[in-house]
Amino acid sequence: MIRVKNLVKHFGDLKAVDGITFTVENGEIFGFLGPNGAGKTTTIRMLSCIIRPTSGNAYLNGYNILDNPMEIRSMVGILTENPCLYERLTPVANLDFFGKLYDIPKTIRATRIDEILEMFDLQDRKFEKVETFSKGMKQKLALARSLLHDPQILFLDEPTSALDPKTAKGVRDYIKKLSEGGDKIIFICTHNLTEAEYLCDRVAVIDHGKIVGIGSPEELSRDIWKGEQVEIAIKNYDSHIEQSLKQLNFIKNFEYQDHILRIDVNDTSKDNPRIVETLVKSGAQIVSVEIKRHSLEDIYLNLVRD
Amino acid sequence: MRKAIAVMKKDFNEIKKNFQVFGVMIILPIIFGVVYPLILYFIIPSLVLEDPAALNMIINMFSGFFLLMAISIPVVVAADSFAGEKERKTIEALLAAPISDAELFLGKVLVSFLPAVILTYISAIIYCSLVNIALGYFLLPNSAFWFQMALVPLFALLGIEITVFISVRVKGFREAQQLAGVIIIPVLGIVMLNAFNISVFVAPWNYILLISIGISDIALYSLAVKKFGRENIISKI
Repeated sequence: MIRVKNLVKHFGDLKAVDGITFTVENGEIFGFLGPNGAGKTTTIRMLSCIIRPTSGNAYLNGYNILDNPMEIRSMVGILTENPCLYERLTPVANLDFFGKLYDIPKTIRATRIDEILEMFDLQDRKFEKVETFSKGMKQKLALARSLLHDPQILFLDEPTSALDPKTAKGVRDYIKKLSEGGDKIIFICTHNLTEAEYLCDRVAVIDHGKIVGIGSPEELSRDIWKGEQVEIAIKNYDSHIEQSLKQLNFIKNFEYQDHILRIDVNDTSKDNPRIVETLVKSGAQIVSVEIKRHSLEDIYLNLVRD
Repeated sequence: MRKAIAVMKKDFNEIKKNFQVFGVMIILPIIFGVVYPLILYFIIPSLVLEDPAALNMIINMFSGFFLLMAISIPVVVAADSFAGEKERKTIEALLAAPISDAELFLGKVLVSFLPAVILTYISAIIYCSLVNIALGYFLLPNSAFWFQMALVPLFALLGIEITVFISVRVKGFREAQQLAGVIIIPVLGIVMLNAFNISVFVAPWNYILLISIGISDIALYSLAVKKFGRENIISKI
Protein backbone atom coordinates (compact mmCIF):
# COMPACT_ATOMS: atom_id res chain seq x y z
CA MET A 1 0.00 0.00 0.00
CA ILE A 2 1.20 3.52 -0.79
CA ARG A 3 0.04 6.33 1.48
CA VAL A 4 1.14 9.81 0.44
CA LYS A 5 0.59 12.56 2.98
CA ASN A 6 0.80 16.20 2.03
CA LEU A 7 3.94 15.72 -0.04
CA VAL A 8 5.68 18.93 -1.12
CA LYS A 9 8.75 19.50 -3.26
CA HIS A 10 10.21 22.90 -4.06
CA PHE A 11 13.10 23.58 -6.41
CA GLY A 12 14.05 27.10 -5.39
CA ASP A 13 10.94 29.19 -5.97
CA LEU A 14 9.28 26.53 -8.11
CA LYS A 15 6.66 24.41 -6.37
CA ALA A 16 7.06 21.20 -8.37
CA VAL A 17 4.75 19.23 -6.07
CA ASP A 18 2.42 21.19 -3.85
CA GLY A 19 0.92 19.19 -1.01
CA ILE A 20 -0.42 16.00 -2.61
CA THR A 21 -2.25 13.33 -0.61
CA PHE A 22 -3.49 10.00 -1.91
CA THR A 23 -3.53 6.26 -1.28
CA VAL A 24 -2.91 3.33 -3.62
CA GLU A 25 -4.06 -0.14 -2.59
CA ASN A 26 -2.23 -3.39 -3.24
CA GLY A 27 -3.11 -5.00 -6.56
CA GLU A 28 -4.04 -1.70 -8.17
CA ILE A 29 -2.79 -0.23 -11.41
CA PHE A 30 -2.73 3.44 -10.59
CA GLY A 31 -2.34 6.10 -13.26
CA PHE A 32 -0.70 9.41 -12.54
CA LEU A 33 -1.74 11.79 -15.28
CA GLY A 34 -0.84 15.35 -16.03
CA PRO A 35 0.73 17.68 -18.54
CA ASN A 36 4.50 18.06 -18.91
CA GLY A 37 5.99 19.71 -15.84
CA ALA A 38 2.94 18.96 -13.69
CA GLY A 39 5.02 17.12 -11.07
CA LYS A 40 4.61 13.48 -12.11
CA THR A 41 8.27 12.56 -12.40
CA THR A 42 9.18 14.54 -9.28
CA THR A 43 6.56 12.54 -7.35
CA ILE A 44 7.94 9.22 -8.62
CA ARG A 45 11.47 10.33 -7.73
CA MET A 46 10.35 11.18 -4.20
CA LEU A 47 8.46 7.91 -3.79
CA SER A 48 11.43 5.89 -5.02
CA CYS A 49 13.77 7.80 -2.66
CA ILE A 50 15.92 9.43 -5.32
CA ILE A 51 15.09 12.89 -4.01
CA ARG A 52 13.77 14.00 -0.62
CA PRO A 53 10.57 15.96 -0.20
CA THR A 54 10.64 19.52 1.08
CA SER A 55 7.89 18.52 3.50
CA GLY A 56 5.31 15.81 3.98
CA ASN A 57 5.92 12.09 3.90
CA ALA A 58 4.90 8.91 2.10
CA TYR A 59 4.61 5.34 3.36
CA LEU A 60 5.24 2.39 1.09
CA ASN A 61 4.19 -0.91 2.66
CA GLY A 62 4.80 0.62 6.07
CA TYR A 63 8.21 2.16 5.35
CA ASN A 64 8.49 5.91 5.07
CA ILE A 65 10.55 7.72 2.47
CA LEU A 66 12.33 9.95 5.00
CA ASP A 67 13.64 7.30 7.37
CA ASN A 68 13.76 4.06 5.34
CA PRO A 69 15.14 4.90 1.89
CA MET A 70 17.18 1.69 1.55
CA GLU A 71 14.22 -0.56 2.45
CA ILE A 72 12.04 1.31 -0.04
CA ARG A 73 14.61 1.18 -2.83
CA SER A 74 14.87 -2.59 -2.28
CA MET A 75 11.12 -3.20 -2.62
CA VAL A 76 10.51 -0.82 -5.50
CA GLY A 77 11.17 -1.33 -9.20
CA ILE A 78 11.44 1.71 -11.42
CA LEU A 79 11.26 2.20 -15.15
CA THR A 80 12.50 5.70 -15.76
CA GLU A 81 11.57 7.82 -18.75
CA ASN A 82 14.96 6.98 -20.30
CA PRO A 83 15.75 3.26 -20.32
CA CYS A 84 18.97 3.90 -18.29
CA LEU A 85 20.83 0.96 -19.84
CA TYR A 86 24.58 0.58 -20.16
CA GLU A 87 24.72 0.37 -23.93
CA ARG A 88 28.26 -0.94 -24.23
CA LEU A 89 27.32 -3.93 -22.09
CA THR A 90 25.12 -6.92 -22.90
CA PRO A 91 21.64 -7.45 -21.44
CA VAL A 92 23.09 -10.14 -19.18
CA ALA A 93 25.81 -7.80 -17.87
CA ASN A 94 23.23 -5.04 -17.30
CA LEU A 95 20.88 -7.34 -15.40
CA ASP A 96 23.68 -9.05 -13.47
CA PHE A 97 24.90 -5.67 -12.24
CA PHE A 98 21.46 -4.63 -11.01
CA GLY A 99 20.91 -8.12 -9.60
CA LYS A 100 23.95 -7.56 -7.37
CA LEU A 101 22.71 -4.13 -6.29
CA TYR A 102 19.29 -5.60 -5.42
CA ASP A 103 20.93 -8.41 -3.40
CA ILE A 104 19.69 -11.26 -5.57
CA PRO A 105 21.79 -14.24 -4.39
CA LYS A 106 24.44 -15.43 -6.83
CA THR A 107 22.96 -18.95 -6.82
CA ILE A 108 19.68 -17.82 -8.37
CA ARG A 109 20.77 -14.67 -10.23
CA ALA A 110 21.67 -16.35 -13.51
CA THR A 111 18.44 -18.38 -13.55
CA ARG A 112 16.38 -15.31 -12.75
CA ILE A 113 18.09 -13.33 -15.54
CA ASP A 114 17.39 -16.13 -18.02
CA GLU A 115 13.74 -16.31 -16.94
CA ILE A 116 13.18 -12.60 -17.26
CA LEU A 117 14.92 -12.37 -20.64
CA GLU A 118 12.77 -15.26 -21.82
CA MET A 119 9.65 -13.47 -20.59
CA PHE A 120 10.56 -10.43 -22.68
CA ASP A 121 11.70 -12.40 -25.75
CA LEU A 122 15.28 -11.21 -25.41
CA GLN A 123 17.00 -14.57 -24.91
CA ASP A 124 18.40 -14.69 -28.45
CA ARG A 125 20.15 -11.35 -28.04
CA LYS A 126 21.36 -11.76 -24.48
CA PHE A 127 25.08 -11.63 -25.34
CA GLU A 128 24.85 -8.76 -27.82
CA LYS A 129 25.62 -5.18 -26.86
CA VAL A 130 22.55 -3.15 -25.93
CA GLU A 131 23.65 -0.38 -28.32
CA THR A 132 22.62 -2.65 -31.21
CA PHE A 133 19.03 -2.91 -29.90
CA SER A 134 15.97 -1.11 -31.24
CA LYS A 135 14.10 1.36 -29.00
CA GLY A 136 11.42 -1.20 -28.30
CA MET A 137 13.93 -3.85 -27.26
CA LYS A 138 15.68 -1.37 -24.99
CA GLN A 139 12.37 -0.47 -23.38
CA LYS A 140 11.60 -4.15 -22.84
CA LEU A 141 15.03 -4.69 -21.32
CA ALA A 142 14.54 -1.69 -19.03
CA LEU A 143 11.20 -3.13 -17.95
CA ALA A 144 12.90 -6.50 -17.39
CA ARG A 145 15.48 -4.78 -15.20
CA SER A 146 12.79 -3.09 -13.14
CA LEU A 147 11.16 -6.50 -12.52
CA LEU A 148 14.34 -8.48 -11.90
CA HIS A 149 14.07 -8.43 -8.11
CA ASP A 150 10.32 -9.09 -8.19
CA PRO A 151 9.40 -5.73 -6.64
CA GLN A 152 6.19 -5.26 -4.67
CA ILE A 153 5.75 -1.77 -6.11
CA LEU A 154 6.53 -0.84 -9.67
CA PHE A 155 6.91 2.76 -10.85
CA LEU A 156 6.66 3.21 -14.59
CA ASP A 157 7.42 6.64 -15.97
CA GLU A 158 6.04 7.02 -19.49
CA PRO A 159 6.50 3.30 -20.24
CA THR A 160 5.52 3.51 -23.90
CA SER A 161 6.72 6.96 -24.89
CA ALA A 162 8.70 7.00 -28.13
CA LEU A 163 7.66 3.45 -29.02
CA ASP A 164 5.95 2.44 -32.22
CA PRO A 165 2.29 1.40 -31.78
CA LYS A 166 2.97 -2.35 -32.00
CA THR A 167 5.77 -2.31 -29.44
CA ALA A 168 3.75 0.02 -27.20
CA LYS A 169 0.89 -2.47 -27.27
CA GLY A 170 3.31 -5.25 -26.38
CA VAL A 171 4.59 -3.30 -23.37
CA ARG A 172 1.01 -2.47 -22.28
CA ASP A 173 0.09 -6.15 -22.48
CA TYR A 174 3.09 -7.05 -20.30
CA ILE A 175 2.00 -4.50 -17.72
CA LYS A 176 -1.56 -5.81 -17.73
CA LYS A 177 -0.30 -9.37 -17.38
CA LEU A 178 1.86 -8.37 -14.45
CA SER A 179 -1.07 -7.09 -12.47
CA GLU A 180 -3.24 -10.13 -13.02
CA GLY A 181 -3.93 -12.06 -9.86
CA GLY A 182 -1.15 -10.43 -7.90
CA ASP A 183 -0.93 -7.87 -5.18
CA LYS A 184 1.70 -5.72 -6.86
CA ILE A 185 1.10 -2.01 -7.08
CA ILE A 186 1.77 -0.67 -10.54
CA PHE A 187 2.08 3.10 -10.56
CA ILE A 188 2.14 4.56 -14.05
CA CYS A 189 3.03 8.13 -14.95
CA THR A 190 1.76 9.01 -18.35
CA HIS A 191 0.07 11.60 -20.49
CA ASN A 192 -1.11 8.91 -22.84
CA LEU A 193 -4.80 8.85 -21.88
CA THR A 194 -5.74 5.88 -24.03
CA GLU A 195 -3.07 3.88 -22.29
CA ALA A 196 -4.23 5.02 -18.86
CA GLU A 197 -7.84 4.16 -19.72
CA TYR A 198 -6.82 0.69 -20.86
CA LEU A 199 -4.52 -0.10 -17.95
CA CYS A 200 -5.54 1.78 -14.84
CA ASP A 201 -8.05 0.90 -12.14
CA ARG A 202 -7.82 4.41 -10.76
CA VAL A 203 -6.10 7.59 -11.84
CA ALA A 204 -4.97 10.82 -10.24
CA VAL A 205 -4.69 13.95 -12.34
CA ILE A 206 -1.96 16.34 -11.26
CA ASP A 207 -1.64 19.87 -12.53
CA HIS A 208 0.78 22.56 -11.36
CA GLY A 209 1.87 20.24 -8.55
CA LYS A 210 -1.63 19.72 -7.12
CA ILE A 211 -3.96 16.77 -7.50
CA VAL A 212 -7.06 18.07 -9.24
CA GLY A 213 -8.94 14.77 -9.45
CA ILE A 214 -8.60 11.22 -8.21
CA GLY A 215 -10.66 8.04 -8.61
CA SER A 216 -11.78 5.58 -11.24
CA PRO A 217 -12.77 7.15 -14.57
CA GLU A 218 -16.44 6.49 -13.63
CA GLU A 219 -16.06 8.19 -10.26
CA LEU A 220 -14.29 11.16 -11.77
CA SER A 221 -16.93 11.46 -14.44
CA ARG A 222 -19.65 11.41 -11.77
CA ASP A 223 -17.84 14.04 -9.70
CA ILE A 224 -17.30 16.37 -12.63
CA TRP A 225 -20.68 16.11 -14.29
CA LYS A 226 -22.54 15.64 -10.97
CA GLY A 227 -24.02 12.32 -11.93
CA GLU A 228 -24.32 10.01 -14.89
CA GLN A 229 -26.46 9.76 -17.96
CA VAL A 230 -28.20 6.70 -19.30
CA GLU A 231 -29.39 6.53 -22.91
CA ILE A 232 -32.35 4.25 -23.59
CA ALA A 233 -33.57 3.61 -27.11
CA ILE A 234 -37.40 3.24 -27.05
CA LYS A 235 -39.67 2.51 -30.00
CA ASN A 236 -43.02 3.67 -28.56
CA TYR A 237 -42.36 6.69 -26.32
CA ASP A 238 -45.62 8.40 -25.26
CA SER A 239 -47.13 10.57 -22.51
CA HIS A 240 -47.91 7.54 -20.33
CA ILE A 241 -44.25 6.59 -20.24
CA GLU A 242 -43.35 10.23 -19.60
CA GLN A 243 -45.72 10.42 -16.63
CA SER A 244 -44.33 7.24 -15.09
CA LEU A 245 -40.78 8.63 -15.34
CA LYS A 246 -41.85 11.86 -13.65
CA GLN A 247 -42.90 9.83 -10.62
CA LEU A 248 -39.31 8.58 -10.13
CA ASN A 249 -37.92 11.25 -7.82
CA PHE A 250 -34.29 10.13 -8.14
CA ILE A 251 -34.26 11.20 -11.80
CA LYS A 252 -32.66 14.62 -12.06
CA ASN A 253 -33.64 15.35 -15.62
CA PHE A 254 -34.72 13.58 -18.80
CA GLU A 255 -35.43 14.32 -22.45
CA TYR A 256 -36.59 12.30 -25.43
CA GLN A 257 -35.19 12.99 -28.86
CA ASP A 258 -34.78 10.90 -32.02
CA HIS A 259 -36.05 7.71 -30.32
CA ILE A 260 -33.47 8.10 -27.55
CA LEU A 261 -34.47 8.82 -23.97
CA ARG A 262 -31.63 10.55 -22.08
CA ILE A 263 -31.93 10.38 -18.30
CA ASP A 264 -29.62 12.09 -15.78
CA VAL A 265 -29.20 10.19 -12.51
CA ASN A 266 -26.72 10.11 -9.65
CA ASP A 267 -25.59 6.52 -9.93
CA THR A 268 -26.52 4.35 -12.90
CA SER A 269 -25.59 1.10 -11.16
CA LYS A 270 -28.29 1.75 -8.53
CA ASP A 271 -30.87 3.65 -10.59
CA ASN A 272 -30.85 1.81 -13.94
CA PRO A 273 -32.74 -1.32 -12.80
CA ARG A 274 -35.52 0.82 -11.34
CA ILE A 275 -35.80 2.93 -14.50
CA VAL A 276 -35.92 -0.13 -16.74
CA GLU A 277 -38.53 -1.78 -14.50
CA THR A 278 -40.72 1.35 -14.59
CA LEU A 279 -40.41 1.68 -18.36
CA VAL A 280 -41.30 -1.97 -18.93
CA LYS A 281 -44.31 -1.67 -16.64
CA SER A 282 -45.46 1.38 -18.64
CA GLY A 283 -45.35 -0.67 -21.82
CA ALA A 284 -42.17 0.80 -23.29
CA GLN A 285 -40.47 -1.32 -25.94
CA ILE A 286 -36.81 -0.97 -25.01
CA VAL A 287 -34.33 -1.54 -27.80
CA SER A 288 -31.13 -0.78 -25.89
CA VAL A 289 -29.80 0.66 -22.65
CA GLU A 290 -26.45 2.35 -22.62
CA ILE A 291 -24.64 4.26 -19.92
CA LYS A 292 -23.14 7.32 -21.49
CA ARG A 293 -19.51 7.29 -20.44
CA HIS A 294 -17.20 10.27 -20.59
CA SER A 295 -13.82 9.26 -21.89
CA LEU A 296 -10.75 9.78 -19.79
CA GLU A 297 -9.80 12.42 -22.30
CA ASP A 298 -13.03 14.35 -21.52
CA ILE A 299 -12.29 14.03 -17.83
CA TYR A 300 -8.66 15.07 -18.20
CA LEU A 301 -9.46 18.07 -20.36
CA ASN A 302 -12.08 19.16 -17.88
CA LEU A 303 -9.66 18.91 -14.97
CA VAL A 304 -6.57 20.35 -16.67
CA ARG A 305 -7.76 23.62 -18.04
CA ASP A 306 -4.69 25.50 -19.28
CA MET B 1 31.66 -3.05 0.12
CA ARG B 2 30.15 -5.81 -2.08
CA LYS B 3 28.02 -3.29 -3.96
CA ALA B 4 30.94 -0.87 -4.32
CA ILE B 5 32.89 -3.68 -5.99
CA ALA B 6 29.90 -4.39 -8.26
CA VAL B 7 29.90 -0.73 -9.35
CA MET B 8 33.66 -0.87 -9.87
CA LYS B 9 33.45 -4.02 -12.02
CA LYS B 10 30.57 -2.67 -14.08
CA ASP B 11 32.39 0.61 -14.72
CA PHE B 12 35.60 -1.21 -15.60
CA ASN B 13 33.73 -3.38 -18.12
CA GLU B 14 32.35 -0.22 -19.68
CA ILE B 15 35.72 1.54 -19.72
CA LYS B 16 37.31 -1.40 -21.52
CA LYS B 17 34.85 -0.83 -24.33
CA ASN B 18 35.29 2.96 -24.42
CA PHE B 19 38.44 3.79 -26.34
CA GLN B 20 38.16 7.51 -25.53
CA VAL B 21 38.68 6.70 -21.85
CA PHE B 22 40.68 3.49 -22.01
CA GLY B 23 43.05 4.89 -24.63
CA VAL B 24 44.07 7.82 -22.40
CA MET B 25 44.53 5.43 -19.47
CA ILE B 26 46.93 3.30 -21.47
CA ILE B 27 48.85 6.04 -23.32
CA LEU B 28 50.28 7.67 -20.17
CA PRO B 29 51.82 4.47 -18.77
CA ILE B 30 53.28 3.68 -22.18
CA ILE B 31 54.89 7.14 -22.36
CA PHE B 32 56.15 7.19 -18.78
CA GLY B 33 56.90 3.53 -18.42
CA VAL B 34 58.29 2.61 -21.82
CA VAL B 35 59.07 5.60 -24.07
CA TYR B 36 60.91 7.74 -21.48
CA PRO B 37 62.92 4.84 -20.06
CA LEU B 38 63.92 3.84 -23.58
CA ILE B 39 65.13 7.39 -24.25
CA LEU B 40 67.08 7.24 -21.00
CA TYR B 41 68.44 3.86 -21.93
CA PHE B 42 69.98 5.32 -25.05
CA ILE B 43 71.20 8.67 -23.66
CA ILE B 44 72.47 7.47 -20.27
CA PRO B 45 75.69 5.82 -21.49
CA SER B 46 76.89 9.04 -23.16
CA LEU B 47 75.72 11.29 -20.28
CA VAL B 48 77.55 9.15 -17.71
CA LEU B 49 80.78 10.17 -19.37
CA GLU B 50 79.92 13.72 -20.51
CA ASP B 51 77.75 15.36 -17.80
CA PRO B 52 76.95 13.42 -14.62
CA ALA B 53 75.06 16.44 -13.16
CA ALA B 54 72.69 16.58 -16.11
CA LEU B 55 72.19 12.85 -15.86
CA ASN B 56 71.25 13.19 -12.21
CA MET B 57 68.73 15.93 -13.02
CA ILE B 58 67.13 13.95 -15.79
CA ILE B 59 66.81 10.81 -13.68
CA ASN B 60 65.32 12.81 -10.81
CA MET B 61 62.90 14.61 -13.10
CA PHE B 62 61.71 11.44 -14.77
CA SER B 63 61.36 9.77 -11.39
CA GLY B 64 59.02 12.54 -10.29
CA PHE B 65 56.81 11.90 -13.28
CA PHE B 66 55.35 8.86 -11.55
CA LEU B 67 53.50 11.07 -9.10
CA LEU B 68 52.20 13.05 -12.04
CA MET B 69 51.19 9.81 -13.68
CA ALA B 70 49.36 8.58 -10.59
CA ILE B 71 47.26 11.72 -10.54
CA SER B 72 46.79 12.03 -14.34
CA ILE B 73 45.76 8.49 -15.31
CA PRO B 74 42.58 8.42 -13.23
CA VAL B 75 41.36 11.92 -14.15
CA VAL B 76 39.63 10.74 -17.31
CA VAL B 77 37.93 7.78 -15.63
CA ALA B 78 37.01 9.73 -12.51
CA ALA B 79 35.65 12.64 -14.57
CA ASP B 80 33.48 10.16 -16.43
CA SER B 81 32.22 8.50 -13.23
CA PHE B 82 29.04 10.46 -12.61
CA ALA B 83 29.19 13.11 -15.34
CA GLY B 84 29.43 10.38 -18.00
CA GLU B 85 26.44 8.55 -16.55
CA LYS B 86 24.49 11.81 -16.57
CA GLU B 87 25.41 12.45 -20.20
CA ARG B 88 24.46 8.94 -21.24
CA LYS B 89 21.29 9.15 -19.12
CA THR B 90 22.01 5.97 -17.20
CA ILE B 91 22.27 7.48 -13.74
CA GLU B 92 18.62 7.47 -12.60
CA ALA B 93 18.25 3.69 -12.35
CA LEU B 94 21.52 3.55 -10.42
CA LEU B 95 20.35 6.23 -7.98
CA ALA B 96 17.08 4.37 -7.46
CA ALA B 97 18.90 1.15 -6.56
CA PRO B 98 19.47 0.09 -2.94
CA ILE B 99 23.08 1.19 -2.67
CA SER B 100 24.26 3.71 -0.10
CA ASP B 101 25.91 6.99 -1.09
CA ALA B 102 29.18 5.82 0.52
CA GLU B 103 29.19 2.52 -1.46
CA LEU B 104 28.34 4.25 -4.72
CA PHE B 105 31.04 6.88 -4.23
CA LEU B 106 33.56 4.22 -3.21
CA GLY B 107 32.78 2.09 -6.27
CA LYS B 108 33.35 5.07 -8.55
CA VAL B 109 36.62 5.91 -6.74
CA LEU B 110 37.93 2.33 -6.88
CA VAL B 111 37.48 1.96 -10.63
CA SER B 112 39.82 4.92 -11.12
CA PHE B 113 42.16 4.12 -8.23
CA LEU B 114 43.17 0.53 -8.86
CA PRO B 115 44.20 0.87 -12.55
CA ALA B 116 46.03 4.14 -11.78
CA VAL B 117 48.10 2.65 -8.95
CA ILE B 118 48.75 -0.68 -10.68
CA LEU B 119 49.79 0.95 -13.97
CA THR B 120 51.98 3.48 -12.15
CA TYR B 121 53.81 0.75 -10.23
CA ILE B 122 54.30 -1.37 -13.35
CA SER B 123 55.72 1.66 -15.18
CA ALA B 124 57.97 2.44 -12.22
CA ILE B 125 59.37 -1.09 -12.19
CA ILE B 126 60.12 -0.91 -15.94
CA TYR B 127 61.68 2.53 -15.50
CA CYS B 128 63.95 1.48 -12.63
CA SER B 129 65.04 -1.66 -14.43
CA LEU B 130 65.96 0.17 -17.65
CA VAL B 131 67.82 2.94 -15.80
CA ASN B 132 69.83 0.42 -13.77
CA ILE B 133 70.62 -1.65 -16.85
CA ALA B 134 71.70 1.44 -18.79
CA LEU B 135 73.88 2.69 -15.94
CA GLY B 136 75.37 -0.70 -15.31
CA TYR B 137 74.92 -0.36 -11.56
CA PHE B 138 72.04 -0.23 -9.07
CA LEU B 139 70.73 3.37 -8.66
CA LEU B 140 66.95 3.10 -8.45
CA PRO B 141 64.89 2.77 -6.40
CA ASN B 142 66.68 5.03 -3.95
CA SER B 143 65.07 6.29 -0.73
CA ALA B 144 63.46 9.31 -2.42
CA PHE B 145 62.05 7.05 -5.12
CA TRP B 146 60.61 4.65 -2.53
CA PHE B 147 59.05 7.59 -0.82
CA GLN B 148 57.42 8.73 -4.05
CA MET B 149 56.07 5.23 -4.52
CA ALA B 150 54.52 5.43 -1.06
CA LEU B 151 52.89 8.69 -2.10
CA VAL B 152 51.48 7.26 -5.36
CA PRO B 153 48.26 5.75 -3.89
CA LEU B 154 47.73 8.78 -1.63
CA PHE B 155 48.08 11.29 -4.45
CA ALA B 156 46.01 9.12 -6.78
CA LEU B 157 43.25 8.92 -4.18
CA LEU B 158 43.30 12.66 -3.57
CA GLY B 159 43.06 13.42 -7.26
CA ILE B 160 40.29 10.87 -7.79
CA GLU B 161 38.21 12.07 -4.84
CA ILE B 162 38.39 15.67 -6.06
CA THR B 163 37.56 14.64 -9.63
CA VAL B 164 34.65 12.35 -8.67
CA PHE B 165 33.32 15.11 -6.41
CA ILE B 166 33.47 17.51 -9.38
CA SER B 167 31.87 14.86 -11.59
CA VAL B 168 28.89 14.66 -9.20
CA ARG B 169 28.30 18.36 -9.47
CA VAL B 170 28.73 19.19 -13.14
CA LYS B 171 26.58 18.32 -16.12
CA GLY B 172 29.05 16.73 -18.50
CA PHE B 173 32.24 14.74 -18.79
CA ARG B 174 34.23 17.49 -20.57
CA GLU B 175 33.38 20.06 -17.89
CA ALA B 176 34.47 17.63 -15.17
CA GLN B 177 37.70 16.81 -16.96
CA GLN B 178 38.60 20.47 -17.53
CA LEU B 179 37.94 21.43 -13.92
CA ALA B 180 39.79 18.39 -12.59
CA GLY B 181 42.81 19.19 -14.75
CA VAL B 182 43.75 21.91 -12.25
CA ILE B 183 44.70 19.33 -9.60
CA ILE B 184 47.76 18.38 -11.63
CA ILE B 185 49.37 21.81 -11.10
CA PRO B 186 50.55 21.37 -7.47
CA VAL B 187 51.94 17.91 -8.31
CA LEU B 188 53.72 19.39 -11.29
CA GLY B 189 55.29 21.91 -8.88
CA ILE B 190 56.63 19.11 -6.68
CA VAL B 191 57.99 17.28 -9.72
CA MET B 192 59.78 20.41 -10.96
CA LEU B 193 61.28 21.10 -7.52
CA ASN B 194 62.50 17.53 -7.45
CA ALA B 195 64.04 17.90 -10.90
CA PHE B 196 66.10 20.87 -9.66
CA ASN B 197 67.27 18.94 -6.61
CA ILE B 198 64.98 20.83 -4.20
CA SER B 199 63.41 17.67 -2.94
CA VAL B 200 60.41 17.43 -0.67
CA PHE B 201 61.11 13.71 -0.47
CA VAL B 202 63.64 14.05 2.35
CA ALA B 203 62.93 14.19 6.09
CA PRO B 204 61.09 15.93 7.62
CA TRP B 205 59.17 17.20 4.56
CA ASN B 206 58.50 13.71 3.28
CA TYR B 207 56.73 12.73 6.50
CA ILE B 208 54.82 16.00 6.64
CA LEU B 209 53.72 15.47 3.02
CA LEU B 210 52.76 11.84 3.63
CA ILE B 211 50.69 12.61 6.72
CA SER B 212 49.01 15.69 5.28
CA ILE B 213 48.02 13.95 2.04
CA GLY B 214 46.79 10.92 4.02
CA ILE B 215 44.64 13.12 6.27
CA SER B 216 43.35 15.04 3.24
CA ASP B 217 42.33 11.75 1.60
CA ILE B 218 40.26 10.69 4.61
CA ALA B 219 38.75 14.15 5.18
CA LEU B 220 37.87 14.60 1.52
CA TYR B 221 36.24 11.17 1.32
CA SER B 222 34.05 11.92 4.34
CA LEU B 223 33.18 15.37 3.00
CA ALA B 224 32.43 14.05 -0.49
CA VAL B 225 30.09 11.31 0.82
CA LYS B 226 28.38 13.80 3.12
CA LYS B 227 27.86 16.30 0.33
CA PHE B 228 27.09 13.62 -2.28
CA GLY B 229 23.30 14.02 -2.44
CA ARG B 230 21.42 12.08 -5.13
CA GLU B 231 19.42 15.23 -5.72
CA ASN B 232 22.57 17.10 -6.81
CA ILE B 233 23.08 14.49 -9.48
CA ILE B 234 19.53 14.13 -10.71
CA SER B 235 19.06 17.89 -10.97
CA LYS B 236 21.97 18.06 -13.44
CA ILE B 237 20.49 15.60 -15.95
